[in-house]
Amino acid sequence: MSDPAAPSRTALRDIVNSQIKRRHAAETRFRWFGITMVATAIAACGLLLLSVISQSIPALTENRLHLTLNVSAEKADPFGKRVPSEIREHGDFYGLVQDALIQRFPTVEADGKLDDLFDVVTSLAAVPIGRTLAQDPSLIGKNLDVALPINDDLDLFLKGAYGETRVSQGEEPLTEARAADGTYTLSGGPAPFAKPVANLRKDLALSATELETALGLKRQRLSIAQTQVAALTARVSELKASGGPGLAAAEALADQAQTLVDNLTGETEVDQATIAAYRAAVKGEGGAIELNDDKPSILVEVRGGTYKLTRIAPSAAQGVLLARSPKGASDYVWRTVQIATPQNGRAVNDEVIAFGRQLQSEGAIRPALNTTIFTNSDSNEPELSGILSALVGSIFTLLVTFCTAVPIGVATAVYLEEFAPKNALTDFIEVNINNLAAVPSIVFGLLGFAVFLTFFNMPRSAPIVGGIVLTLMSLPVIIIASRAALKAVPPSIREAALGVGASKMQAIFHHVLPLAMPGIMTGSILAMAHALGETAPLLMIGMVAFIADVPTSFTDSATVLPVELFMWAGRPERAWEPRTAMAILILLLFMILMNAVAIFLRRKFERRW
Amino acid sequence: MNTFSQSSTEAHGETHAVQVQQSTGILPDISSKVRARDVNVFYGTKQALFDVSLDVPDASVTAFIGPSGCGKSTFLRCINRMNDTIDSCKVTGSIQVDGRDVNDRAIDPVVLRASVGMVFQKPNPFPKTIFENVAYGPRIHGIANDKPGLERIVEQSLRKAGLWEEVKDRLHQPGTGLSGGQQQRLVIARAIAVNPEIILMDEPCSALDPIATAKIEELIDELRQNFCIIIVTHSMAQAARVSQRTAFFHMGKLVEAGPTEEIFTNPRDSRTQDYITGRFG
Repeated sequence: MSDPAAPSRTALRDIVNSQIKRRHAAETRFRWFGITMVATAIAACGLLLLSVISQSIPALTENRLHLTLNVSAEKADPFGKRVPSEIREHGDFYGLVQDALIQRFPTVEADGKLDDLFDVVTSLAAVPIGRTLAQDPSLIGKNLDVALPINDDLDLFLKGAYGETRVSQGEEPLTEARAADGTYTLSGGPAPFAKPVANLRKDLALSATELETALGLKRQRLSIAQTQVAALTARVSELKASGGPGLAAAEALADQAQTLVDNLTGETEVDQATIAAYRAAVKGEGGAIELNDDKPSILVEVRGGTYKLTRIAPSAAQGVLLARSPKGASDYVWRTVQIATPQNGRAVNDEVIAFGRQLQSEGAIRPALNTTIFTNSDSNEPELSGILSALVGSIFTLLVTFCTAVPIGVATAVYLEEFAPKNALTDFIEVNINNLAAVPSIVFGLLGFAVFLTFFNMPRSAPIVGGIVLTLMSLPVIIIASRAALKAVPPSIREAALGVGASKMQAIFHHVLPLAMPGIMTGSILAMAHALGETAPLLMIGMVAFIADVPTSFTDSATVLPVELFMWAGRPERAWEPRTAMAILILLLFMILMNAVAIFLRRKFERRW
Repeated sequence: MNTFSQSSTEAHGETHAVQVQQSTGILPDISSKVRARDVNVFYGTKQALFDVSLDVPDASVTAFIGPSGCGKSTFLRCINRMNDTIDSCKVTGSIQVDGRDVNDRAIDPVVLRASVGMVFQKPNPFPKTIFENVAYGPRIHGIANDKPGLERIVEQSLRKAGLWEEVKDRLHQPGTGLSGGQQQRLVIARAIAVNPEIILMDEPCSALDPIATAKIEELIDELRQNFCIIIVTHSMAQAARVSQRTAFFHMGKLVEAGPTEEIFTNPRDSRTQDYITGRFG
């Protein structure tokens, strides 16, 4: 109190006050760091989900072709035996579909567009018809209504995934006049094609600008290549003169560079010509524009016929007939369909689009919820592919994993936690279990390959092997989680059980283990969810395979969802993209489901003591 | 006054008013329920108990008192070999229950613990129903396998623990839902359900309020008729209230043991005197 060296109370308070501001500032700063990090994490998560969902939207629905097949006996059952296996083997079901399609477009053969019409539906799509008929041969000779998934690219086009497609309705009636060479001239009213022409000019101008930018880059590369050629040529002649070593290599290099220069020169010339053509078309105000497969397509739909224009002017247009359906003959409304992407730039040609649009306008092609992805297995045709076999494969594999990993993991945890003596050996084991949890999963795949496939000669691609490999991978996680759960059971429970004379086994199995069960189950299910999403180890044991049949046993060839995803993502057709996104969503859904079960179990069986 | 000595006198027709005067110089006595001789306990290299020799008579309450860490709980846990659960713990010397050495290899700790029940400091009912809590012991020991038999044991035990009236309508609700005092009585009921010879109580009231404590003490007084009870307590008042005999531990040594009245009114050792009068501990 009376110590003169000690600061007065007010001085002390001042010191505290000056510190308090800094302390509060530090706290606020820390809180804001936290909030920022959490917000970033949520945003990243949301972005991921949003991107996957938005990409999967085209695969949410699928267009199906509804046809009434006249099931003729000679096509469905050529030998007339009415035996399921005979029907399945020898029936020409795609022929039935083709007949029904030709019925809708009677003149298609004369128009020479038969192949394009058949492109609307792939032959594989007809396989289920065979199954239906084999199951019920009495349907042969009758009419059969079917709904078939259509060509994936046409499907995407009809969903509007192929760039901009402008449809405008004509006002004045349009007349078609056939010329001697088979082309048609379309005219009617003062300027029936004014709008499409204006649009076309805009499109062409835009394309010309884009091409020009690309051309600039190409020219730069060309000039660099030319410099290289000059340098290399100089070197070659120098080597020739001096007779030094490396002449052959230098010549080869010079040749390579020259080829590049030639290619680039060719490309720039083509581009220049295209740009010039576009520009010319744009400039020719009022004049006609020649169309070809490198320019945007314009289709005219009038009275059940679809024409592809080869030359368009505001007043009239010339074109060729692509498709004609008798159903629309009395329809006086006509439309122009402008497809901004040139035919050469898309996987679906104008003919197939013409047939597809006609079938759609007649109600034969209708969108439906995409159930194919759940009911079908893998296929080369995106529209016929589904995840069923992979899903069943995943379930089989996880069943094996669950049935082996959980008992072994829990037993190991109980032994290590409750019975094992604490010595150097158990310490060593413990450290290694913890290390195993961090081993890259591909290593487990290699182990599975070496041990199960090579040494034990187990079947390749089988869920049983995949399940065991995933077991090895998830065991450390389960053991660690189970040990933590066992450790969390208060010792008072153990003492209580021992105190009334329970043996160690009884105390553990009657009291400790049941209390640790929620934690053990949570850890196990999370490990299972992890195993469900695992790809790498399964690649090594051949579970990356084209599986068109649903596996029926643990030794059948199978694949799993994430591997299927991996394969789909690598396929070139555009229609795989939304389907892959869809499959990702399904996989995520299963993960969320498993995690929800884990949370539910934990909540339900969590006990207080 | 000294119920224990009277009863033992009646039982054996001998007079042993004071069985243990000190940790040394013990008179052999066959009526002792628990007889400890030269018990040493080591936790690893650390010695926790030094040459403890003590006799505990039947049908009475014996209190172990002493400052924290003096080894009284350790000694208690030696009697039903609960120290076996601690890996580093080593016990030497002999502890006889009913004339048989508990550390004998032939003695199964499971059998021993069935006859030497234990109640812990914190009420530790199983997170199961009240019925299951009490029925667990009889079931694992096969004392009663059918339902009516179990129900009878459960009712008797709960009655003896003075809990029956309070819980008879909710036998199938979790035992953890009871109040602290009720839980402790439930745990006592669980212990007496297997009909032990001895009940060890390790500070059974330290987590309870005074009213619950009073009930437990009342219960202990009643149970004394049928069981040999050993209670570890920090409360001198409690020791004075419930016990007939008291043993004072200090620094791992048994300082003094004798009739409670004598210990509290006329302690032989100055350390006992100091502890009782509150000069340390």
